[in-house]
Formats: sequence, C-alpha cells, structure tokens
Amino acid sequence: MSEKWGLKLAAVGLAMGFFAGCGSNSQSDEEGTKSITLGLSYDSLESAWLVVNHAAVIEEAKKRGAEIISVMAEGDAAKQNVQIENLIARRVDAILCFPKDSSAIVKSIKQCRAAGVPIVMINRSVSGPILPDVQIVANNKAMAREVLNAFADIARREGKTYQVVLLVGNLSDENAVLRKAGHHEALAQNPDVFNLLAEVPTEWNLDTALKGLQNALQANPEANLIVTPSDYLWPPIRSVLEQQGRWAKIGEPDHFPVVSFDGDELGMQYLKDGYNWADAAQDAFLEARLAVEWAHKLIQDEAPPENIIFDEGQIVTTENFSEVAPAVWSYPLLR
Amino acid sequence: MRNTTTNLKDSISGLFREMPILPLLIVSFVLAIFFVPHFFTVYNLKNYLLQSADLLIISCGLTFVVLNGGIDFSVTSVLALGSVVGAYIMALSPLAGEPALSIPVAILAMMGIGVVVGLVNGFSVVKLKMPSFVATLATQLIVLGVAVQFASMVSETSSISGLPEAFFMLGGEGKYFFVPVLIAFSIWLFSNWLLNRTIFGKRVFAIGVNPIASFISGVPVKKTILWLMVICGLLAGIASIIATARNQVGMASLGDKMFLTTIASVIVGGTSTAGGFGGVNKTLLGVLFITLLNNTMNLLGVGWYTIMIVLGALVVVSAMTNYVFNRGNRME
Repeated sequence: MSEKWGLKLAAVGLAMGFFAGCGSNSQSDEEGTKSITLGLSYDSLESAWLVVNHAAVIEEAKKRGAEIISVMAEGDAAKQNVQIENLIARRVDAILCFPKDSSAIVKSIKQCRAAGVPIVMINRSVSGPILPDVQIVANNKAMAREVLNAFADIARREGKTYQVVLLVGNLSDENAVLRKAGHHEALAQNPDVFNLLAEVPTEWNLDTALKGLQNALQANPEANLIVTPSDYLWPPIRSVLEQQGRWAKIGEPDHFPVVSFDGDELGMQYLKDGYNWADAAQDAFLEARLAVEWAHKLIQDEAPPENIIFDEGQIVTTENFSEVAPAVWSYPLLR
Repeated sequence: MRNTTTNLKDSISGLFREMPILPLLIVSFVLAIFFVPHFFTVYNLKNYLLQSADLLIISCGLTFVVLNGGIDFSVTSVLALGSVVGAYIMALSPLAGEPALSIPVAILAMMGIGVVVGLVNGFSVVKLKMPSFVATLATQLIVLGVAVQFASMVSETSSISGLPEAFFMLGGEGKYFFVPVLIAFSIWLFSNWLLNRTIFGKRVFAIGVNPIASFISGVPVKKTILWLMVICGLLAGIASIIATARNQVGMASLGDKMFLTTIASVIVGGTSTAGGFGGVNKTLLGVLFITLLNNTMNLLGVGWYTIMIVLGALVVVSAMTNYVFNRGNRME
C-alpha cells in the first residue's frame, strides 16, 4: 500500500513541482503587463548561423524591453504549427519565425492573420498567395549567383575550368530552392568555366550529404569543384576530401576547391585558412535586428514598404578577404 | 451514511486504481488553470482538443496492438505516405481541379494505405512468424522511403501544397474545429465498444495475456492478430487525413517525430506493454495528459529539452505506477 501511495505522491509532486516552478513566469507576465511579448518559433538551432541569429533576436528584443517566449520545433513542421497555435493562445503581440517548411508554415500564417497577430519570417522565406506580414531574408538567389560568378572571374583570370558537384539543400526550404536557382544561373552564365557533373541532395542532413558526396565523387572522378549551399555542410565536405587525400590548402597539389554560402564561422575560417575560395555571407545580426524592429513596427500598425526586406549580404573571396571579411558578422570569431 | 461514504471511497479508489493517470491529469489540469497564463481560454481549450485529435486516433490503433503484446512502428510512416499520396491526389493529379471528386478519392486512398500496410504487417507476423517489432520496423522503413521518394517524384519540394480549401474542414479550420474532435471521439467510442463489448475484444485481451492458452482454448489467434494490425493501420490512415488537413500540406516528414508521443500516450495512460491489460479508455487519458503537457509547456515558454526531460520522467513514473497497480490484476 505504501509503495502505491509513494508512487502516487511522486507523480502528483512531479506535476505540482513543474507547474509551481514555471509559475514564476506567469508572475513576471502579470507584472509586465505594459511590455510587449514576442513569440519566437525556430525550426532548430542546427547551424552556427542559427545559433547566433537566435541569440541576437533575443538580445535585440530584450534591449527593446520585450519579453520573449521561445519554442523550438526540432525539425518537425507539424510541431511548429502546433507551437505557433499555442503562442497565439498565449496572446503574444507578434511572432518571429524561422520556419521548417516554407509550405507547411502557411497554415500558421493564416491562423496569425485570423487572430490579428503579426508574423515575421526570419531568414527562410515563404512564397505563394498567402504571405507573412514581413520577411527578413538574405537575397539567396542573387547571393548564390554572385558568389559563383566571383569565383568564375578568378578562374577565368587563372585560365582554369571546373567540373562541378553541386550540393542542394532540402527543397521544402525556400532558401534551398533559391540558392539552387542562383547557382544554376551562374553555371549557365559561365559555360566557359563550369560544367555541372552532378547534383547531390542533402536534405540539410549531414549524413545524407556525406554519403551523397562520397558517391558523387566516386562516380565522377573528374570533378574538381564542390559548390555548397551552406557552411553547415562543411563537416561532411571535409570528411570526404580527407578520405580522398584532397583536404589541402589553396596552392597545394591536392587542393580541391570549394565555394560556399552563409558566412558562418567555419566557412569563413576555412576561407581565411585557404580551403574555401568564396563565401556568400548573410548577416545573422542584421536579420535579427530587422526582424525585431519590424515586429515592433507591425504591432504599432506600421506597414512595411515591401513584403520581403533583403539582407543583401557580402561576397567574400580569397582576393577581397582582407577588405570585406571584417564587415562579416562571424569575423570576430575567427582564429 | 457510513456505508455510503465507504462505497464512494471504494469507487473513487477503484477508479484511481483502474486509471492511475486520472488523478495526475486532474491535478495538472487544475494547476494549469491557476498557474499557466492563458491556459483556460476558449481559444486555447479549442487548441487543446484539436491537438489531441490525431494523436488520439493513432494511439487508439496502437493500443490494440500493444494490448496484444505487440508493437507497430509503421504507424508514423503511414501518416507520411498517406499525407503525400492524399495531397498528390488533391493538388497535382488529374482530379485536382475537382475537389468534390478528389477529396473523397484522397480520403479513401489514405485509409487504403493504412489498411494495406496493416495487412502486410499482419501477414508478416502471422504467416512469416516475424516478431511485430521486426516486421513493423521493416515496413516503417519501406513505407517512409516510398513516401519521400514519391514526394520527390511528383513535386519539386518535399512537401505538397495547394490542397482544396474544403479539405481543411477535416483539420478543424475556423468554425469547423469540432470536426476532427468529433471524428477522434467517435473512433475512440468505436474502439472502446470493439474492445469491451465484443468477442473480438475479449480475444484481444486473452491473446495478450497468454497466446498459447488462447489458441488451445479455440481462440483464432492468427486471424485476430491480422485484424489488429489492419485496425491499427486503418486508424493511422485516418490520423493521416486529420493531420494533413490540420497542416494544410502533404509532407513526407509528417509523423517523423510522433512515435514517441504516441507510445508515451499509450503507456502513460496505463496500458501494459506486456499485453493483456489496458484499453483505449486509458489511452484517452494518456493522450489528454501528454497533450496537456505539450500545450502548457509551450504556453510557459519551456525549452524543448526540458519538455523531453519532464516527459521522460513522467513515462518512467507512469510505467512504475502501472507495474505496481497492475501486478495484482495480471496475477488474478
């Protein structure tokens, strides 16, 4: 009998302890009735860029005196929709969202509209007839095109041609679609430099990228350039090149050129160290600042000039590194 | 007077012994009303019920299999394949322009996928003598692979949008919020009737307690297991309809991370993983409790990993509670 009661008490105690522990949140909520509450819904914090951007959003919001309620979907688009539903129920004043799936998030946009809660997309855009109130995104297509064009200029000057293996992100992510389109535009604009050998779908999954890249290089031994849509994919790229004895710096005989995207600490470090030729750097801090700023403006009924506000980014290459890199958000983190 | 008090005490004690999660659910609900901001609002309670609907349907199906001492890992992949196939029929197939035709065809296809996967699982367990966890793990991998492959074949993106507006009613959009709740409740009622009021239900419990003794007693063990698997698949197919309509998009990743929540609902509710004890009435409480946890934690802005820790701790406490309370029942 005592065993049963012990377990009953443990279970009830667990629930009471949890709610009582969290109860302090509601206290502060009551006290801060005049402050703005922002709901923050991120797909995940898988990449370094996202970690920095997420922290920057919270810091910027706190600087402006807003309270933040943050939820994480951990890569589940359906769960993200449920979490946004809960944020609306929590009566947040606005929602800042890094969506998992550019199509699935439309359902949440509709719900926000119905509830009169402004929603701001950060970094990952949504297209189609139903749009969020404002989208703060990198100019993915243009940046992907320009970074490859910049590398084509260098190649032309050096009289080199490249057989390209193109990594592709998860195509339910509008960013991946646009980066792929930008890369394709540049490949088409520079037929004298580039020849596309293979496309490797990665689904933004490191293991999928590793196996896909291994297979692509095995099937295409003449390949001599990897184009990646994200610095997040550097670990599998490095792993595959190391296995092939091709992880070497620019100028070394076994060097295998790579062109990347994001401007993460890792991609920029490899650019500085001579493994990466060019990186399209999007600004984690600028996008965070603009997102919070627009959330506040939307709460005050100010309409944005355009639905999409672009972070135009920076194209950093081995040639302009010393001039351009210091302006990139991850530069102070480099060794 | 004393007799009445004793009877009341006995029935409450009996109810709590039968459903140990019930006091925890009541206490948590009351605490949420007082401590969780905006929990007790019409909007949120509506959300709470909606968020429970697809989980209840899929968990009811899984309860049948768990009661039998088995497991079905393939339920979440049925969700994924049903979602992309249904979305394809409604948004991209030649029927796409005719919602009056495409919606019923898609619904039948989604349920059909569940039935076919259930039949394959049942055949593997009954005829090929595979343990259910091996058979359903295999179908889970195959069906999920087919879902991802199918989505990438028919669409440039891994999700399929452009579904007809009328279909969203099944997901509870706007004033139709009661539709998925009613569907889930009806399925729960039907499952309850099937388990507790029919010979089929008695056979399920009997096989769960002792399949050999059941066979010797003349229970059609193989046929019953086959039907269990089909019911589980069918309910996963129906859950796929509700979840796709709720998200308004077909996704191969639908249900990706749902298995843990589903099995947690069944176990926390009080159904024994050893088979033979439990039922969908317990699963209903499990679903309501797990959804309450997720809902309140989101409202409080509790981090994902904290949610996982609390959920895991509660599953352990529930499993221990079930073991202690049901030890006597199984012995009897």
